[in-house]
Amino acid sequence: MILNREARISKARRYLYFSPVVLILLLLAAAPSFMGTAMISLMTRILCFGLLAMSVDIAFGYTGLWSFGHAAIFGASAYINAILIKQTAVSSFWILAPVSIAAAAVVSAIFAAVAARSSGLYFLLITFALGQLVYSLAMQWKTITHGSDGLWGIPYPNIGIPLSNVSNYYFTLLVVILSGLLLRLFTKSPFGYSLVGIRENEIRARTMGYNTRLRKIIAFVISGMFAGLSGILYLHFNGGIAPENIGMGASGMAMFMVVIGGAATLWGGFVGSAVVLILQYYISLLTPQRWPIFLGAIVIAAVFFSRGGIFPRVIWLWQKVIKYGNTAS
Amino acid sequence: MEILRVDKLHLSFGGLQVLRGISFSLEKGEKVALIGPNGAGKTTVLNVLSGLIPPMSGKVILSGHEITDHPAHARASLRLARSFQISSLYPQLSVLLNVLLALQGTEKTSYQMIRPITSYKANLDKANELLASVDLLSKRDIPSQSLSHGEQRRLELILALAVRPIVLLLDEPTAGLTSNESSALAEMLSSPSNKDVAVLFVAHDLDLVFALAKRIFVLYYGKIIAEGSPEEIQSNQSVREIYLGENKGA
Repeated sequence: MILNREARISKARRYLYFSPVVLILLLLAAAPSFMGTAMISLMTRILCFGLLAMSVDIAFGYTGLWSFGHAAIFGASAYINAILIKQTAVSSFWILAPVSIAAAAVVSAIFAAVAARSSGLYFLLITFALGQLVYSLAMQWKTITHGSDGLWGIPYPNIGIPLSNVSNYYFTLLVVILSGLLLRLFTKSPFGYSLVGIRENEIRARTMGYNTRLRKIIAFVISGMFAGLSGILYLHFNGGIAPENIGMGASGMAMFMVVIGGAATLWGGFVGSAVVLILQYYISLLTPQRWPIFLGAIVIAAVFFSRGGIFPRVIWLWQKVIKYGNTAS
Repeated sequence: MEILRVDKLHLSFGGLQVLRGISFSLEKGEKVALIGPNGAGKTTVLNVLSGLIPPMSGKVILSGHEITDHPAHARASLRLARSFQISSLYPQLSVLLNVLLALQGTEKTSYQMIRPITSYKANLDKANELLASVDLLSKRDIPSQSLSHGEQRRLELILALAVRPIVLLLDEPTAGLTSNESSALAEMLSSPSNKDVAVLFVAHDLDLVFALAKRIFVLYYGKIIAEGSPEEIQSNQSVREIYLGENKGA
């Protein structure tokens, strides 16, 4: 009897612990019923950049690869998708998305193969340089990419049923949640933990039998594939893609999102995306030109007052609340 | 049966000759100490043998296969393991995850990307067994950086043993341990479960050297100046002069 009671209490605590997740999912599902078009667009943007930030977190937070080229991989996938939509008769998302993700994997593999011999700041500089190469290609190859104008007129994804602003939000939400769950499994797997091992102590990992260079390349490619998927979702949501979406500013923004949300937490990237884009939206309404100043202040505040990011801090607070509740009862 | 052979290893850092024609061999299950004053090149020998630093010339042969050009991870796959002088753990990971990572390092399942690492029951059981053998089972869920120094040294040894080595290189395994902990470590290394493991260990702890080693190499400025049983080394005049600081006339 006592055991049953304890098991029930333990189960109840578990439900209580995860209740905010259910609440957030319900809010995300119900959002279109109480939000206007502009807010739904903002939510879709948060989802796209949340997935990009999660992909950056795999490389940066988990593996310790300071990538400043993820926006270029995001962009390469989006550009390939846009070019295929514009220049071929194929429009099915189920065909074009895998092709574009494969392209993102190839670009990531090239980035990783070149940069994997280095680490830390040098890795960042090499990925930054390679990212700028992709950016230059998008700017200069005008016959294909339309230069600084970009490629526009891209419809919502053709998934077999017509999509609207709201249904595209739900589609993006579904893809991002599934991707997040897949990445969550990845981070808890032997391979995922080996990446954390490499980040924490690469020499020890090598002497344990881990081919650290190969693993860093694989991790970067997997991370790049999810960055590519986020690029495709963003392309369809945004209606197009331009070089300004794939430059160093975008890479820096994705990195900021991870730092603000919490590196090596996966969902922290999503939190960072929400914080940055919601603040950007409201601050830009008041003073559009001064947004970068506020972004800088937010990053500094996050580093000083919430080292480790907002997401781990929120989890810690919630655990305290549950513990306090248990003690009080 | 010879398990490890080192032949005329040379290494220089700039103008400094760190290793000058090091040659020796280890038999299966043999426990050998590498001693010498600070700066003699002892840790460098371990770094070269474990593949962290390539030698300029010479050969390393493990179980009859030349591994001189093998990277560190390939040597670990051939069951050559090592520990470090300063505990080299995964500080933010739990004690259990440290051991699980060590156990799966040379397995194909380490490339598995979906199944949780803790779902591999054989590895989990083995990890628990190893942790129990050094009294760390109760601390398996805390980050390894929260362990005391002595506990970290014990975990360090477990990580090396988890590779199921045929040759184990230990760098100052008892540094910072109490005499009881050092004795327990010596007992563990000479226990029946490790009888087939050839151990080459660097130590300043002469109690450990004499308790564990059947053979001793004395390294001085990158060169082996003496080799023999503990008794032979103790009575070797060159060793007394160079290592123990005694003069011929004294």
